[in-house]
Amino acid sequence: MNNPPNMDWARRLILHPNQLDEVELSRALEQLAAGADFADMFFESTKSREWRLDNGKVSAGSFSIGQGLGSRAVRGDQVSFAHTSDLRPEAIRSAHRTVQALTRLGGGAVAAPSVPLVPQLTDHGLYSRKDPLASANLLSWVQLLEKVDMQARAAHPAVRQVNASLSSAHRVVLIANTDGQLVADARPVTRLFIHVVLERAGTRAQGSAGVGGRYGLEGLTDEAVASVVSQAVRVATVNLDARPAPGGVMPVVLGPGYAGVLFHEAVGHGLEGDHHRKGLSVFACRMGERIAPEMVTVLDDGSLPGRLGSVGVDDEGAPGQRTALIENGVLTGLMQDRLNARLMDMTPTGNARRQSYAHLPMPRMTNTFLLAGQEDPTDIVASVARGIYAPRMGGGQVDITSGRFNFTAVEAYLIEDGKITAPVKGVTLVGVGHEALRHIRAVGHDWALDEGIATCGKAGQTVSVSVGQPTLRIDEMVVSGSV
Amino acid sequence: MISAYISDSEADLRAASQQAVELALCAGGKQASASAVSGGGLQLGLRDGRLETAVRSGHRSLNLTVFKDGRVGSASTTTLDAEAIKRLVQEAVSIMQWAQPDADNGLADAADLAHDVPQPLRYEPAGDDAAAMAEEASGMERALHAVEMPAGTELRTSEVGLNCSEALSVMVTSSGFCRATLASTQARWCSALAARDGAMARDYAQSMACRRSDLRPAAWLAEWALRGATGQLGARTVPSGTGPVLFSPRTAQVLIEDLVGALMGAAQYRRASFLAGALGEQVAADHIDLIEDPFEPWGLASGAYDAEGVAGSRRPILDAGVVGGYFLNSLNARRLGMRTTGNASGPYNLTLSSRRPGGDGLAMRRHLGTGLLVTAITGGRTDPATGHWNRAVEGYWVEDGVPGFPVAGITLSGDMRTMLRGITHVGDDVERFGAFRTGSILVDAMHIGGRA
Repeated sequence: MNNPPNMDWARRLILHPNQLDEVELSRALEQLAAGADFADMFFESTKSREWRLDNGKVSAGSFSIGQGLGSRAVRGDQVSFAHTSDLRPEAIRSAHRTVQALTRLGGGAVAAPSVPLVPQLTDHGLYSRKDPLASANLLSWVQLLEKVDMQARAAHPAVRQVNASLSSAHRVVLIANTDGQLVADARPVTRLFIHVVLERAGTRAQGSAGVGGRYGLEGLTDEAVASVVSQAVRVATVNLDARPAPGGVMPVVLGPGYAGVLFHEAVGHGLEGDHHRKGLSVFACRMGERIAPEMVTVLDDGSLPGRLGSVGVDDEGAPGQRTALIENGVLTGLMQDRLNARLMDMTPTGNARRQSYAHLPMPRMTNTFLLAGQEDPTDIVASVARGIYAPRMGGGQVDITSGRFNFTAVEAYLIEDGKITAPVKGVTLVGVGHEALRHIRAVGHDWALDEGIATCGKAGQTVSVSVGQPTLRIDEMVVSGSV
Repeated sequence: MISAYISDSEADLRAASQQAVELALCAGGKQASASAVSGGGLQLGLRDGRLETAVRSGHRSLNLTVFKDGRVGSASTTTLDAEAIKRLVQEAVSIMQWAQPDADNGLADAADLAHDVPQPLRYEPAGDDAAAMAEEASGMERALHAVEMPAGTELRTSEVGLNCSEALSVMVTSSGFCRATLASTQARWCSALAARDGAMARDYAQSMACRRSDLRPAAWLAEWALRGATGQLGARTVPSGTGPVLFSPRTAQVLIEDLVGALMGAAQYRRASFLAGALGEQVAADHIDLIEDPFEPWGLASGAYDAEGVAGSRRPILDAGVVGGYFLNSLNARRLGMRTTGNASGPYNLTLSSRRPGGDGLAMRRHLGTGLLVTAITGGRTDPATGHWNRAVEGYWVEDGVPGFPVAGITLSGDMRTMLRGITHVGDDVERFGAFRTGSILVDAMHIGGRA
């Protein structure tokens, strides 16, 4: 094979159909970079297919094919950007003239040097090279959703509605920049999401669950599907019987996996390079300080195989890597993209991500998690006299300036005398990130990542991430119940 | 070419849509509908008075839906050449062939199509002069610095932004519908980071409209963002308890969102709604009206027809607190044994009001007396099936109608049905946010979760 496989995809889907080649890209970059310190072009070609189960039938499906280019010129801390879905050379030239004019808004112009592009090999092996949409056999999609409907309805007599969606996408990106870098990446995604409504004696409750990864339909094994169905039904069942949660300050035990969204919100966002450079983060002047007990180590790792947060290369062409955010309780690292790293005299960390070609890259998390500790999860629950056990969270938010965060549990129970007892609803946890970190009392050995459907929103852009943690006890958490 | 932002002519978009529909019928479809959109815009962002980002956007897409005997398939593409349209049709048809039939699938009934319902005003050339926009942005920045700061408080960081955009969309169906809509939007926003004694707080203000003259002036935005940020400095929690809550107009729109979500057709037929089957039922206080108006001139959610070519109507969603209608497309209407309300693209402009005038902000705080004024909702959710409402909020503790100290790090919970019935006043301090328009809303009793 003459070309790395990722570059093959890019040539076939992006360059050849639009009569583009390295020489044309190099010329376009030169035009784009006029008056700038740095410039890059981000091409994207994405195909996706989705099937939906609704009302007991797999009666709707959709397919989409999209392509586009986002072209950026950077001068100091000023960014000029244009995007277009028309990839013909003339359309690209027109977009670049627009960027040039926008760059001039910020001041004078300097001539850009011409850039010879060197295609880079990116055979990172983090995810499947196959196109998950290549098979023309649509029956297997329909059958998988039929199985979901059957299993969910069989799981509990009170199940009234089952909705599910099964989607796959193949996203090929090509990045060319004024360092002469030319790099491609082909990113497969498959996701299954289930939502059930239970109704008993006029009381309704809902539950949802999902699974996903950088693979094709073959990644959704029978066990994975059965597990998602039973989770969704279990959450709804628990909520059917749940009573209002008590409020107050108490210890909280969070379950393994998705509850790690706590570290994503309470720690991660405050350690993104742009927030630091702009002085917006509550952590801005605290590098090297101890902010948590010794047993707390939080990592961001874009190089985990198969995860939706993983990046073979990030959206600026830097390889995904592991960055320690908190090491043994000490604040150690920031997540950087190229712009912010350069302005802060630091090194990019493979965290430049963007929702699509039509969005600017920013420092974003990849797979962010708390490392496992030593303790037995059963002992952790048993250590709590009165508190809340929350195995599944529904997501959360943080104000990076104050550090205040909030999370809502979708499945929660009381802990009474060291035992998990009644299910409770309406549990929201509020706190301040750096204070909550200090109150971590125990870290379990049952480390897990979420099931693969976590997404993160920042400045209007959504990207896939992973979050994870082991069972964890945090004291003095403010639990806002409904009584 | 209509404008710098719209790179395709109406004729080109119509031709592409028509071709997709015709090919879909040739490939075995019984019915088809296609819509094509072309648009773009310009956005500038300044930080501390310096231009930080300048973004020119451009987009185009073609969507096709094809039906046969209750089976449906759809596909979309961002390229409109003949090859892409052929591929689009092929993918949509193959999905249709594999899909399971549902008798309720299909185009809107021909009798419901809005062939000649007049277009409400939605378009003013958005302007594409980047230098003029940069000058306007500088003016917004100056407005922020002109606001007087409380002693000892500094404006540490300011951000201002401007966006203008235009889009042209064309819709064609095999049932003979063919119309085009041209729309513009303008948005301005600013955010301020205030600092005092080592504490920082941030707030923002924004304004969005179809045309420039409907935007809030720069001084208004600056004042709101700065007052919000400085007001939140030194925020603290309050003890848990139950009491009256006044939602500012910005936060009150969340209540409308939850109400609208519960009345959407999909939520109704799935019974995943705390208002399942509530048509004709008294669900809110008897002085509350919620009016939907698709035809308001220059309304952000105005339109002559929806994504199925059906017109909406000016109608009460709540009439003296009684549910007057759901938001339905054809599919959900058929499933519920009802008729589409022309809401396939979502709700049109909605205005919440009270038959019992609540007065201005000051009067509303007097009605509140002693309790919580909510100015920001920072997280949380509503369980759509049960109506259990739970949010993390920020705001002020008000004593005898006078705002006292800022509050943060608390949650607020309640039950949507109880809250809707418990609305005692709606203020005439009306603000518009996207499709929703409301004044501040006073709810008689909610649970505040703070320190024990």
